[in-house]
Amino acid sequence: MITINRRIFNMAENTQPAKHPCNPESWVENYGDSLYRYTLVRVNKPEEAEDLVQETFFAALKNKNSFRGDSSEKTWLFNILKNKIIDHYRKNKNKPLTASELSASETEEGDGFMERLFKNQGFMEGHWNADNRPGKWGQNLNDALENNEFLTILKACIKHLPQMASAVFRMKYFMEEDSRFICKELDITPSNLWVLAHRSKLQIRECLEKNWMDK
Amino acid sequence: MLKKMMNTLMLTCSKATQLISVKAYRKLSVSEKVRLRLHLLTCSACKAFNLQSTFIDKALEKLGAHAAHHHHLPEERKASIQNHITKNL
Ligand SMILES: [Zn+2]
Repeated sequence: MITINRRIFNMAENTQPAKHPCNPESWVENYGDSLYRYTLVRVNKPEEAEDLVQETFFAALKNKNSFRGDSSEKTWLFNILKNKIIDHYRKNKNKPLTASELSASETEEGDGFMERLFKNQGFMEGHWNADNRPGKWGQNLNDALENNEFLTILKACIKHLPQMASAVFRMKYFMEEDSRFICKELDITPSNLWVLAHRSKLQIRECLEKNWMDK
Repeated sequence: MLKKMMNTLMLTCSKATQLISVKAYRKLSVSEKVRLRLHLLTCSACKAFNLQSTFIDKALEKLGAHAAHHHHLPEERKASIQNHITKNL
């Protein structure tokens, strides 16, 4: 019985595809730029991106024996990087807010953000305030997607989101994580998530309308 | 009475836009979908928000996929990481 099992085990091992190589000496040259580019849009500052890439390489080097060659070196490095970025969001979440973030603060109700956009009393309660309702954006929106100036403005708008809203937004759109994962990693409830998602969208929309449509 | 009936059937803009933002994160229930559609029929501001929200999603997708093509990890940083790796190999 034991011999048969061992034979099956050996067969399984023999039919496995060739292992991927691991060459730490050429990591920086081969993957430095792509890891950096991946990180750049997911954090606020270039220095943060540099640090995260460096941490990724150092952690990979330390754990290079755990690389089993089942996936490529590149996939393995990207997985380490993704975990580092999520850690970075989590750490930022616990940092005290700066003054400008406090003024546009977070999940709390009653900071005036929603009240500025929507009427908070009367028969039309919950409907747009005339001054803040969305304007018409015209027909050629798809052209904007090819326009570098537009993408630069969009990036700047994301940068101005409060920390938590920004973390939610980036995990959702740039890391393609699902809601349950985002809630778990950032330690928030689904209803916190919906509030943050909504406010991010309202804020980005308004920021684009102000800075891009008015040009 | 009229207001109560309106409230169960009709969404406010604040609720309608919330559903629009959230539908990228979770499936809306049938009743949410119906009420949202009904609201969008009668409210041009939320209709604009809906279009813009979809457009922003598309733009973010693009930004994520094509992020910063021309950026490079600065040479100094590359050299110092490389140095560390060579030393600790
Ligand atoms: Zn409306």
